[in-house]
Amino acid sequence: MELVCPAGTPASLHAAVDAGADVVYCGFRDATNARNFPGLNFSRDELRDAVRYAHKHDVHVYLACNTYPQAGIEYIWQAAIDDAVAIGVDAVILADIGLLRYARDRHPDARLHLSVQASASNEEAIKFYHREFAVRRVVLPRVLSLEEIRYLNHRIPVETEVFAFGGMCVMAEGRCSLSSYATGESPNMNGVCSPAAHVHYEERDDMTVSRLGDFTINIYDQNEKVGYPTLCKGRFRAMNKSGYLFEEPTSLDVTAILPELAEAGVTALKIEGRQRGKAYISQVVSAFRASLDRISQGQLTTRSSLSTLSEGQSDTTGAYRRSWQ
Amino acid sequence: MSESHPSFTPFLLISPFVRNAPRALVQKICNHAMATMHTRHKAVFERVTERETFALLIAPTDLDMMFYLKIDPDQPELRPVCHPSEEPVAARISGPLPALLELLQGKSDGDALFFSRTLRIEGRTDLVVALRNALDGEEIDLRTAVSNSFGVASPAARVMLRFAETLYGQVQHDMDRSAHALTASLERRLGGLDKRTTAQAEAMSRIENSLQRNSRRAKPAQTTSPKDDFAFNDHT
Repeated sequence: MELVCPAGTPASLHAAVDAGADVVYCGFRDATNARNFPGLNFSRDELRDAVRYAHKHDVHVYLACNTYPQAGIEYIWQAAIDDAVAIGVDAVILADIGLLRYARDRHPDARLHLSVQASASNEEAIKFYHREFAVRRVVLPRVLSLEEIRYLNHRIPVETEVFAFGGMCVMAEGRCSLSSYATGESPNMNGVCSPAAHVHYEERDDMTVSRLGDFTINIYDQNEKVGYPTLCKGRFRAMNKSGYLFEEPTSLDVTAILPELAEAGVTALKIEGRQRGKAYISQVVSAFRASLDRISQGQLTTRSSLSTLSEGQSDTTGAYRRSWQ
Repeated sequence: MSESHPSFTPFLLISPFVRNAPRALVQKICNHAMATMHTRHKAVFERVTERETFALLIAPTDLDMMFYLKIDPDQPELRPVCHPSEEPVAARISGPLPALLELLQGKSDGDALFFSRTLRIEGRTDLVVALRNALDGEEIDLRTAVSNSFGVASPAARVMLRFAETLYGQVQHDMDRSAHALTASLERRLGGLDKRTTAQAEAMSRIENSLQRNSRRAKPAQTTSPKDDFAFNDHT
C-alpha cells in the first residue's frame, strides 16, 4: 500500500520524505485547501522547490485543492489547479464538480483524485466521478467499515485511499455546517474547521475551558487530556447527563488492521495532519513505514506507539471495525 | 490570565539563581538570542506578521521569570518580565522550558504537547498557531546557534553544551525518581478513591434511572421537546 503523508510547510515535506513517505500531499497558502490555517501551507515557489526535492527522492507530491469555490472568485481555485499542474505535481485532489470539470477539460493528462470532501461513499457516486471526470482515485470518507470498503473495491473502477492515522470526522465531509454555525467559516468554503481566530482557551483554577465562538466546547479537569475545539467533539449535557454526544476526542490509528486493509484492496493509506508539526510527521510516517515494511515481508504488525501524538492521547480503529454496532 | 503550577524539571532548581541574576545580563542574553533569530530566520517574522505585529508572554513554568516577546519583522524584541501584568500581550504560552525549547526547534509537536496539557495557551489562539507554524517551517538548531555565539571558542562551547545536556538528563532522571518515591503512596490512595468515586457515581446513576422509570410509569405520558433537554455544558 502507498503511504500518503501530510505536509503543511516545506520543512514538514522534507521530514515526510526523509521518514519514508511514498507520497506527500500539501496545499497552497489560501482558501483552496481544507487546512487553511495561519502561517501554514506553500507559496508557488515553495511548492516548486518541494516537488523538486520529493522527485529527487522518488516521492510523489499531490496538491489538495479540495474546498468549494465561492461564486465570483472561482478563478482562485482554477489558478491553483493550473499552477499545480505547471509545477509538476503528480495528482490534484479535488472535491467540487465544477473544478473537476475544469481540470478534466483544461488538463486532460493530469491525474485527478477525488477528495474526502466530496463524501463519495457508494458505488454509483464513485462511478459517476470516474465516468464524468476521469477520476482515478477516491479518498473514502472515515465512516465506512472494512466490509464496505472491500465491497466497493470489488465494484468500482478506481483506486481507493483510506485514512490511516490522525483526526477523525464522523460527519458527511464537505457537507458539515457545524463550524459555519458557530463561526461563520467552514472547512468546505474557507478551508478551516473551527478557525483559530474563533478559538479561546481559559485556564480557570485547575480546569481548562475551551470555547469556539460563543459556545463552550469543553471543560477539562486537571488530569484530562485535551482535544481539538470542534463542536462535534464537544462535551454537552443532554437528558441530565454530560458526555460526548457525537464523537470523543480521539485519533484514528489503523496499525492493528493494516493487513485487513491490504486484503480489502485498499491502494493507499492517508495520514491526516497537515496542521501538525514536523516532529509529528517524522514519528508517524516512520512508524507506518516500518509497519508496512514488516507486512510486505510477511511479518505481523507490532503494537502502535503513537498514542502520545493522538488527540485526547487515545486512539481508535474508528468505523473500520464498528465495534459499537 | 491564570498562574500555572511550576513544572518539576532541573530548571526549577536553578530558578532562584535566574530570578536573582542581574536584569542587564538576562536582557543581554535575550537581545543576542533575538538578534540571532532575526538574522538567521527572518522568514519566521515575515510569515507570522503577514496579518499584524503582536506581542506574546512566554511563561516557562519551571523558571521564576517570564518573557515578553514582540513579533515584529523589523524590530523584534525579547525581554524578561517578573509579572504577567507588566505588558499588554495578545496571548500567553505556558509550559516547562524544555518543552518550549523543543517546540522552538520543531523537535516536539505543539498539538501533542497541548493535548497532554504540557502546554497551555490563553488569548489569541490564531496568533499562537501562526507563530507555531512559522517556527515549525524553519530548521532551528539551538545547540549550533549557542555554540557559534562563542566565536573562536565554539568547539569548547560545543563540548560544554554536550556535558550540560548529559548532566541535565541525569538530574531529570533523579528528579523523576524522587518525585515518584514521594508521590507513589499518595497516587495509590488517590487511585483507590477514584475507583470508589466512580463506583458510587455509577450506583447513583442506576438509582436515578430507576427513579425516572418509576416516575414515568406513575405519570401519564407527556410530550417534551428534545430541545429542552439539550444544553451546552457551560458551568460558567
